Formats: sequence, C-alpha cells, structure tokens
Amino acid sequence: MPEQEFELYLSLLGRFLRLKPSQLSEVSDELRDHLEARLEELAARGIPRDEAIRQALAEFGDATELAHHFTQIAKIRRRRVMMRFTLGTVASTAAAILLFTAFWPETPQLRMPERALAQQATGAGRQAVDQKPVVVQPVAGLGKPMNPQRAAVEAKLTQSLKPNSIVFVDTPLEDAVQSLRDILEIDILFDKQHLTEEGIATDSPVTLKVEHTELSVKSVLEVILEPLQLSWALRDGYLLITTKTFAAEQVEVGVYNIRDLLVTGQPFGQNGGFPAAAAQGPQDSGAIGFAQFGVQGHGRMMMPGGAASKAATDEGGKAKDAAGGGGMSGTPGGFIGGAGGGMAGAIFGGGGAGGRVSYVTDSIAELVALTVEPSSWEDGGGPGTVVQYRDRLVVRNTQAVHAKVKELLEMLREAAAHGDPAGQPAVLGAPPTNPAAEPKR
Amino acid sequence: MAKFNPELMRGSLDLMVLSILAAGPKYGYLLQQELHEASRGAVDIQAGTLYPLLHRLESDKLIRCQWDDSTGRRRKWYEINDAGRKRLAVQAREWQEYADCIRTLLATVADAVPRPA
Repeated sequence: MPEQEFELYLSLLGRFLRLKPSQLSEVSDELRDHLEARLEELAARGIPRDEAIRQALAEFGDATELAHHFTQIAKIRRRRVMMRFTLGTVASTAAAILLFTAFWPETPQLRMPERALAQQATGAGRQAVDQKPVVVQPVAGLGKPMNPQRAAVEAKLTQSLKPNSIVFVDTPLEDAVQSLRDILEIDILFDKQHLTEEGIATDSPVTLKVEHTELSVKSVLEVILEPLQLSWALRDGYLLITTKTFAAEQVEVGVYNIRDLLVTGQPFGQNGGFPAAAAQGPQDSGAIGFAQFGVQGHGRMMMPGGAASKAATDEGGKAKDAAGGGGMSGTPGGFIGGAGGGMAGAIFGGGGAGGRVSYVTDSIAELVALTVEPSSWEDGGGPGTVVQYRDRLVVRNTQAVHAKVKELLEMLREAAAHGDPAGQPAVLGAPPTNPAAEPKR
Repeated sequence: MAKFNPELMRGSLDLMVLSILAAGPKYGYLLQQELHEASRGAVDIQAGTLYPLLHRLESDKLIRCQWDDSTGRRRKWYEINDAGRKRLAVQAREWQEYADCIRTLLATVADAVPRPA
C-alpha cells in the first residue's frame, strides 16, 4: 500500500534529481522499499502509524541533500568517462605537438602547429595567440592544417552581408538556404532525419529584412533558424542545418592555448602541480579525490585544475588515490583519480555553506565554467566540461559554447592588455618587465 | 555502545558495506540493519548516505544489483562481485595496517581515557 507521504517525498526528491526517467523510477522504487520496510518495523514496535511515517521520513533526511548526492555520483561517472577521453585526446595531441616541434624547427614554442600564427596588432606588449580551438582529431599529415575544410566554412560564417542584400519574406526555408548557398558558395545541408522527427518542414516560411546594418552570416542564420527551433552546426566542408535539440547535444573537444593568461613568472609543471592555476579561492565541491573539501552549495564548479593543483602542491605533487576510488590517479595536468575518497567526503560533508554569489579564483577553468553558459557544464546539469591542462584549456561543449569561451578568453586578453581605468596594469598577461604588477584579487 | 563519529567513519564506509555484502546479497534496508546490529549500534549509517554509496559502488563495478518483484514490492538486492571481493581484501589489509599504525602512535594516550559505553 503506497503511503501518500512517502510518494510526496519521493516526488519531491525526483524533482531535484537530474537523472534519466528510467534511473529516476529505479531510485524511487528502491527508496520506497526502504521507507515501507522501516514503517513496518516501527509499526511492529507499536509506534502509531502517523508517528512511524514521520520518523521514517525524518531518518531519511533532507530531500535536496540526498538528491545532491545522487546527482554527484552520476556526474562523477560521466566525468570519469570524459576525463579518460579528454586525457586520451590531449595526450595524443601533446604527442603530436612534440613530434612537430622535434621535426619542424619553425615552432620554438609549444603551440598548435595546425593553426597559422595570427598576429594581431592590438594591445601593447601582449602576445597574440591564435584563439581558434583545435578540434582534436588524428593528425592528417605533417605540417598541414587539421581542418582546412572546416576552417573554410567557419570563415564564411564570419563574413558580413551588406544591408538589403538578403531579403526573405515568407520565403520557404529551402529557398532561403539555397540563396545563402549561392551567395556564400558553401554547401549547406539539411539534417532531414532530425527535422522530420521534430516535425519541422523544410518549406517553413522565413522572413528576414535587414536594412540598416551589416549582418554576419552567422547572425542571419540565427535569425532565420531560431524561430523554427533550428540551429546550425559546423562540419568539415559544409554547414548542417539541424534541430536545436540535436545541435545542443553535439559536443566536441577543443583545446585553447591560455599560456598568456596564466599568472606570469610562475613556472608550471613543477611537482606536477600548477601554482599558476591553483585556486586560491574557496575550495569547492571536492568531488574529485579530496575528502577534505566536502560539499558546498551546488551549481558550483568541480574543477580538477583548481582543487587538484592546490592539493597537488600541498602534497608535493602526489595525487592520492583515495580509498574506494576507481578512475585515474597521478597528476598529469591536474587530473585526479580517487573520486571515491571525494565521494565519501561529499557524503558526509553535505550541508556546507550554501551557494556562493561572489568568488575569487585563479583558475581559468573555474572562471569559464562560472561565467560562460553555466548550465551547459556538468555541474549545471549540462554535457560540458572544462579542464585546465598545463597551459591549455581543454573544453568539451557545444560549438555555441566554444564560441563564447573564445570570446571570454579574448575579453580577458583585452582587459590584460589595457589594464584597468585606474591606470594600474592588470596582472593577467602583463609583461614580465612590469615590476609593479601584483596579483590582483 | 555509543555511535561512532561520522568523521571517523568517513573513508571506511565502503569497507564496511563491502564486508557485509561479502556475507551474502542484501537489500539496502537490510544492509543498514545488519551494519547496525553487527556493530552493536555503534555504526549508524543513514539512508541518505547509504544509497548514494551503494550506487557508487555499483557504478564502480564492485557490486551488482538485481531487482526482485516476488514479494509484490520492488526490491533491489545488491551482491558483491569478484572485483568487489578483491577490493575488499586489499582495503581490509590496508585498514589493518592503518589501525596498527594508529594504535602504536596512540599507545600512551588511548589508555588514559576509557570509551563511554
């Protein structure tokens, strides 16, 4: 006989749990079984039913806390898989780079050989580093850019169209797209399968009249596609028009060079820790490997780069594989195994400080995850991760978020180059010759 | 026996749960009860702690689960597997060494204060 109070509790729990419906019903069933068994026992001891129900629920504890713990596990599970993947791809990229630098003397510094150096004449004294993330794939051929076709398509997207050069008035989408194909000379294909699945017809009318400004192709596409719940995705050699939901699921890994954004003058790689990236700020959600951090408010970032590097330097560079943890150990670039220990910490540490509003961090990964589309990262329930690996930022997320990450990094560089209005130079990326530069908090 | 401080138990819970499961398949509530009894009330693990732990052990592939509908109520049973047994053995040994170490360090102190009943 299902108790109403239990069902209420379980449905409340379900609302907080970010699980697939099948997983959710399993968890509910299991917990319901426990509650009913407990109720039976208490009733057998002579405790009146209402009191017994109340007690059984009280023993269970706070629904939000419980939901949080379950969600943590699901995330750790996903993160482990992604960490392995990311580590694997980063490792192979690093290997590829080493090969390049060994055989091609033109690259004295560690940088992505596939990307031509884009020297922009902006900012005084800051070193321009190409922003574009490299979508990690096996190296095509020595010395050749990785994705020339993709790069070509991407370049077209940033082109601007003169006002009134494109006018659609209730034009069927297919025709509109054909016009774009003709103007841009790129292939634009429809993801027929997903469009049909969601019942979006390719002859749906679109309207676009731009009279006063130059719009970029990207913006034109957004304006046309958005009302139809459609989006676009970059592919090698063509542009794909697909549903928003599908596009949102397309995650890819990109690696950004952030060497110039790390606090200068600090060597990295010593002791396996990264003082440059150590989060001096409050340690958070120590789900990765370190029970001492416990669990603080959720919606916050679990950034291996930050937490791990601080702990790594504390421990003299050895990552402890805490009891019960599977996953990876060692600290290449701050990846930490021992999630088990962290989990134990998280289990007991529940009920720490609530969600934070203000934050201090030296971790760029943490910064990204907090400011760029927070809901797209794992901790916010999304598919993405951002991890700092030495002087690279490895981001796994949708193309749209990648674009925003790029923007943020550019903004950081801008701010670093121009300093703040008070005339003090900002620290990030400040040239080492400036002795007045001090870590700005 | 007075309940152990949760801080103290942190890190050992896996070990405790695996050791109970080594004796045979259990469902969550039963596991909680047996832990309580086996420790004469000193180990009191809350449902809110136990179930996430079990789920984690399952996702770590140290235990497997099976649903049982025979009693008319859906019940999830957990059973330790080979990897789990191996982990238990390793952790148990490590824990013994740890306990010996602590015992040695605290030899002079422990004698002074009797444990409350």
